[in-house]
Amino acid sequence: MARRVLTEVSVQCDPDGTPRQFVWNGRCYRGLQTIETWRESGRWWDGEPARTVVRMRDREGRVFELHRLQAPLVPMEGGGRAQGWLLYRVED
Amino acid sequence: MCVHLHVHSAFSFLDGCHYPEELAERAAELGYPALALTDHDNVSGMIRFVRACRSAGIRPVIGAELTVMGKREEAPGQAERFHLTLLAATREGYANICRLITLGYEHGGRRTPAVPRRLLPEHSGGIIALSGCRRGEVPRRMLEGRFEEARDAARWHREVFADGYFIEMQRLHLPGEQRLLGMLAALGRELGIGLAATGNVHHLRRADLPTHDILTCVRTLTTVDRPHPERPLNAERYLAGPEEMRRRFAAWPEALERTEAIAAHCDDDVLDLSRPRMPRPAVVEGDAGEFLRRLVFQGARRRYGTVTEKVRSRLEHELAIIAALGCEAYFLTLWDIVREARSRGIRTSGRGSVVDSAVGHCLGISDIDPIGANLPFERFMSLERSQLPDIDVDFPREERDELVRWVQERYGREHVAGVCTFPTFRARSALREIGKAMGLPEEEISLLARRLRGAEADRIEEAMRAQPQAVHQKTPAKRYTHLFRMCARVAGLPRMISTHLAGIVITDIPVLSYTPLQPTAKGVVRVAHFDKDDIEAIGPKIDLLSLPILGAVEQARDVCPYESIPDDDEATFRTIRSGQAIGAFELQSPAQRALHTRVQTASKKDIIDSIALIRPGPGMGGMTENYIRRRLGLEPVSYIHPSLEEPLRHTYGIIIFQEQVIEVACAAAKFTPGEADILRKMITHARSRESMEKLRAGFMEKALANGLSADQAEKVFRCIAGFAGYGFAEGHARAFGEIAYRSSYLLRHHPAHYFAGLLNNQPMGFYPPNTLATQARTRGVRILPVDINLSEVRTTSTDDSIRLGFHLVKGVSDNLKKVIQNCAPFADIRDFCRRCRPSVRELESLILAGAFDGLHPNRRALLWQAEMAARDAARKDGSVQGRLMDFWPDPPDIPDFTESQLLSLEFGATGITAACHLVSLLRPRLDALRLLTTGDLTWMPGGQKVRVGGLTVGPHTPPTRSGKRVLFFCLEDEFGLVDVTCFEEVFRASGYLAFSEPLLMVEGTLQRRGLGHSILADRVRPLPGSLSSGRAVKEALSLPEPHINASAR
Repeated sequence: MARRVLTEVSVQCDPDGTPRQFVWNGRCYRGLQTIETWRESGRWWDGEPARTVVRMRDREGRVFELHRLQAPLVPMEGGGRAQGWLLYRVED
Repeated sequence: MCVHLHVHSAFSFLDGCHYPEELAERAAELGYPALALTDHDNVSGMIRFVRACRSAGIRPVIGAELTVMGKREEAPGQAERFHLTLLAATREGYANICRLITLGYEHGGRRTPAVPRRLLPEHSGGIIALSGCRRGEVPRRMLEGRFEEARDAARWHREVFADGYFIEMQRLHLPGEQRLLGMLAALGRELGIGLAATGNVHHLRRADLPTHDILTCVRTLTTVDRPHPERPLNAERYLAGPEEMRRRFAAWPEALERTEAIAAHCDDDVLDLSRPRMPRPAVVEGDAGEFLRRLVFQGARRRYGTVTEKVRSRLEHELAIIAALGCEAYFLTLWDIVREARSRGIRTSGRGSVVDSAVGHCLGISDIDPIGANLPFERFMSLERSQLPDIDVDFPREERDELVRWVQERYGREHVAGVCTFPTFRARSALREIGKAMGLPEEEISLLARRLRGAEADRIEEAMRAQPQAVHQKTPAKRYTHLFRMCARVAGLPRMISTHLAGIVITDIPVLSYTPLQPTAKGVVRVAHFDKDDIEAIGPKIDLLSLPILGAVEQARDVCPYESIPDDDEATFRTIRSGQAIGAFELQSPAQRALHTRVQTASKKDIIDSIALIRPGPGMGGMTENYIRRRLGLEPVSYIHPSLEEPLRHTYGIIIFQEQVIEVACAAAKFTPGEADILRKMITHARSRESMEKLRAGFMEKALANGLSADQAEKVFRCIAGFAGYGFAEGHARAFGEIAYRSSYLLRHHPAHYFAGLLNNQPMGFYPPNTLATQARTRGVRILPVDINLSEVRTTSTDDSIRLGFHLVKGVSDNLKKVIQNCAPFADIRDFCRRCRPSVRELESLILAGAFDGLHPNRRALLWQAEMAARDAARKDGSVQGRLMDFWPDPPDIPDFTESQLLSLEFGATGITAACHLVSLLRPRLDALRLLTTGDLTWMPGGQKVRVGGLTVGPHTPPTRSGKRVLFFCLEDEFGLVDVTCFEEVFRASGYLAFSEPLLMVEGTLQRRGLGHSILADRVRPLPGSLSSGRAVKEALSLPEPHINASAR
């Protein structure tokens, strides 16, 4: 079952930027394998930043969709920069 | 190094974001040696692209992204469509791409081109094909998991294109892409097909993503808040630099390297722009140049009687330039077309700069004598300018298309094409479409559009600051920010291909060698993919224009043939200078009428000058005032230098014609006429202070050498420079002035026939049909209503009456109109229904128009009968819109509509009230309000405060020099028209009502200038009450239910 989570998480990455493990709700999810990765521009009209999306599977077969928020494509009034990782969706 | 081989410009309409020039410039900046252009099913950007690439020092690669129908075509409407990227390796390849695109339009439709896949093999020579983006057949099948079909498709394409077929790889950071690329690479290895890396470029930089997304939303009719599969997921479809491309294709370096090899393999001159193609004249006896000469001198003897030395030397001069520029065939073709038109009795009139050509005059293309009028040929053609001529000829609207069809038969359909235009985003269209795409509510968009009327798309934000009340408080401010920025961003971007109203090109080789051809809505001629600016790279354009007035004047031919109109009719000039020549060609606008009352027009020359003086644009105002003062002797006529008296005497020392710029430069600075015309053009197009300064320096040097003082030379240059942008061609003014004078003559002496002609040739002119009918009525013409037994399809006329025709009745098909004319007379409405089989809607329209009043005086009863017959018909054949059958009930005993309702309904059905003016019914009420009539204003002195009521006619806000908005409109009553002016304050407070209210009351000051008068408004209000409000009409139209059995057959 897939559900949207939308929470910031701490992610440890390999040198090439691929997530290796992350912590969510006090639990560490390790042994992550990348299923696929892509980029999205976000709701630019509402000031949302662009992001890289990484779908990963852990050792127990759970699938996580992590979003790496980038600087916004177009500078927005009042700022709005957002960095870091967001756990967007979980399928378990 | 690599080369981008899949690139979209703004000519991938509502998909690409940049012009070809911007793409070429950016590619050169990034260090690319070449760039391809592959717009969707068109090559419209190609000429600009080739020129821009050459100018930027990079090699152009020409192609297109073709839409292809899949294998299964049994149901063409449901055939799958794929994309295929094509590049022209040779000229044959380019011609094949043009043919394939043309076939795509033929098979897939005007708006949704798609070429059947089976036609690719026949037209594959000289083409390099790439398997396409995700919408290509091979990648799509792979994404669908249909691997065998993907493999078959790749094999098939390789058979068709042999070594010229490559698997296209795109790394755009999309879901599923890694897997897809792996499969594509594997397929390429398996089948021995090379890989080619592309960027599927739609914009220049990542930051342009919002523009691309908005254009996609506009194209797919969706909003930013809704997902759509065509919307870009990210910003990666930009013109990435070489480093980024290397990163993207690190795993497939050979795919990147191959792109440079492919680009090098494509010839860089596949589009032959070396020389324009001339038509091959259908009639030539011997050498074309000699044949032209013979025709010209034959024509000279007809035009001038004796060919004097002046005439001969002028003709020889022109023929020499025509020969030097290789344009004999072009002139012979025009002669052929005009000759054919005249042999069919079709009136023609050359316009524009061809009027400056004595050769054109002798060939019958133009009827104005340029030698007698002292018009320089160099305004039309010169060796110095060495540009192709551009000849414009007017025809009556109805015959124009007939002639274009003849041209295609005569010269061959494959050798003739229409010229296209590219409608672009303007302020209102940008606001509406982008507003919708941004998800703004319709009412907010409409309010914005109304309030920002007249603003340019790229200045909307600025205009908004002056109209803060237009912004709705509920919509988030950032949406408005995006909206205005997007409007500025898309301003001027092309939205689609449309047809140029008049331009065609005729070439000696098939047009398909240069451009695809696309069918048009009207279907008269297929249209090329190039507009009037680019088409000249292929061949000289001919403009065969519709000028409805040429059809209108034919209405009077039996009583007053056009050619027989005398030249100097004082009664005609009196009508023009009274300011009441409403309906006269070119002389009827409020600005024209005001001018003629002030200058006291007394000759054709005054008319010709007025056509040049009254022009759209803010620049003319000061010059017009100077002209009027000098014309009336209120200011002395002076010349900056005595040499300017000759060219400027006839316009009181003021430059008003482009030809005068040439003459002044020749007189003051000894330019040759050709040099002077180049100066004129360069000043017109000068964009920077530096370029203007260069021109000034050149002029000053020659003027000083000619003996002018520095001060004089400076003043002359300022005069030329100030004028150049607004000038009007005198030849054109003379051609139009001749028509304007003759139409005024017919208006004055044969108003019934003339106004009937105007009604038969709508839409045209400045005023709606009802105003024209009112004007006819004020001149003693009886307006007779549409009558089922007495009317024809067209409006007819006698010496003192006009019978309105069926063409005016809305909602009646052309076919029914002809049937009625052929079957009349009718005994009664039943007879009519039996013999003509109208639909319910058509019958109702005719009833409302009063067409049956002669047979059945009660229209309301007739409508009831029609309704009952329609219900019966629907019961029998199930069709609500079915034709009326034989059943027709007896008339009910119900009162007819009131007089005002009858007039309102008639106005709604035809646009005209025959019996009397709508406002005459309101007269008692207007008198009670103490409102004056337009007739009262004609004798009142100026400066008085007045209040007038009437119908609103022709509101408009032309641009002004100050940038402030001024509203002009007319108020019309049963006595005539009065012009009303609202300055900015009044416009904002209440004047805007002129755009929405049909009946208005205006309070203001009566102004008199010359013989004319107008109102300077202080306040504008809707007229209290109304003739028949929409609700009252609706109530009147509700018919009683039958409570008795109507009689059967």
